[in-house]
Amino acid sequence: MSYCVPRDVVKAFYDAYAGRDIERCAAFLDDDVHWTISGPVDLLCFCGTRRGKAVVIDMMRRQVPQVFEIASFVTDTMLVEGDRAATFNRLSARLGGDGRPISYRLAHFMRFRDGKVIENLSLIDSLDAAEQVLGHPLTQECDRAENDNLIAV
Amino acid sequence: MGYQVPRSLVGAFYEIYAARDVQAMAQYFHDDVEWTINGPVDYLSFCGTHRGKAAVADMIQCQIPKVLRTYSFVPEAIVVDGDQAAMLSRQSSRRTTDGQPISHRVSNFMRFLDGKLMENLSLIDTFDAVEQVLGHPLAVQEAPALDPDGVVAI
Repeated sequence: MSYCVPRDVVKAFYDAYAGRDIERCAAFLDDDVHWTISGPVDLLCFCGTRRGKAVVIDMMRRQVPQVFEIASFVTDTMLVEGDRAATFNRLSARLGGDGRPISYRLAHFMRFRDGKVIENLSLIDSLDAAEQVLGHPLTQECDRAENDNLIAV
Repeated sequence: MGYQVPRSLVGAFYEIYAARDVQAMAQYFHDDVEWTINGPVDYLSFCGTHRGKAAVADMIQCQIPKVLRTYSFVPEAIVVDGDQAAMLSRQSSRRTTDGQPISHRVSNFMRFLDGKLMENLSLIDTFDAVEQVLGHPLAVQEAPALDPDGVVAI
């Protein structure tokens, strides 16, 4: 039978992640972890795929605190099945420059092997996040006539 | 112990959801189903919360096809745990007006009760989706200068 990640492992990882305890997070990352964040790389340069424990840790340890201080990371929903986990979360933070608060929702889809994260995909409400980081709407100057062009899921 | 949705039921629902078979989907909807899609309502007017079987079915059956023709909905991950299911998918569509292709990831977090869907929360990469729906990049360059390191991370 293939690997099944214990729920306690997932919870322990999220305790460390929510607390931005990088050392504890590192203990849960596979050396070859792939960490992908969906979103506009030009604007939110953390978006994209990072490969390898050191690179992912660097993002968490060095780059994030340059931008904002995370006030809370609340996991509303956590599902665990087989080697996978899926969570729905709310991140709240304050921007480094002026302390403006930001808050947005995000989903994680993770795969584990031998107690380590080997893959994560983060899906965020990226427009909302980008607008909050910029401090103004991005869509206000767009042609409102195009409002009829909708997307649904 | 609470209700546990069978994986087979989730799989069956996913199939008809992917095919946009609304009549079949409706059989899985609880009368009081709530279907929420995150995103900017001004641009993606389907976003927000839709309450009730009729409203959700109407959204999928009547409103979406006026705008999008989804031709592919491919699962990347399905996680079932207790009464909940989480799905990560790649949705590919064409704009109804001009056939412009649109492709983006979608996550669905669903809760079931007695074989019926009670609640769905959809999260999409909204920046990507809005740009594709508008057909041009958002005017980021016209925004106030952002610190080169002024990024958001998760």
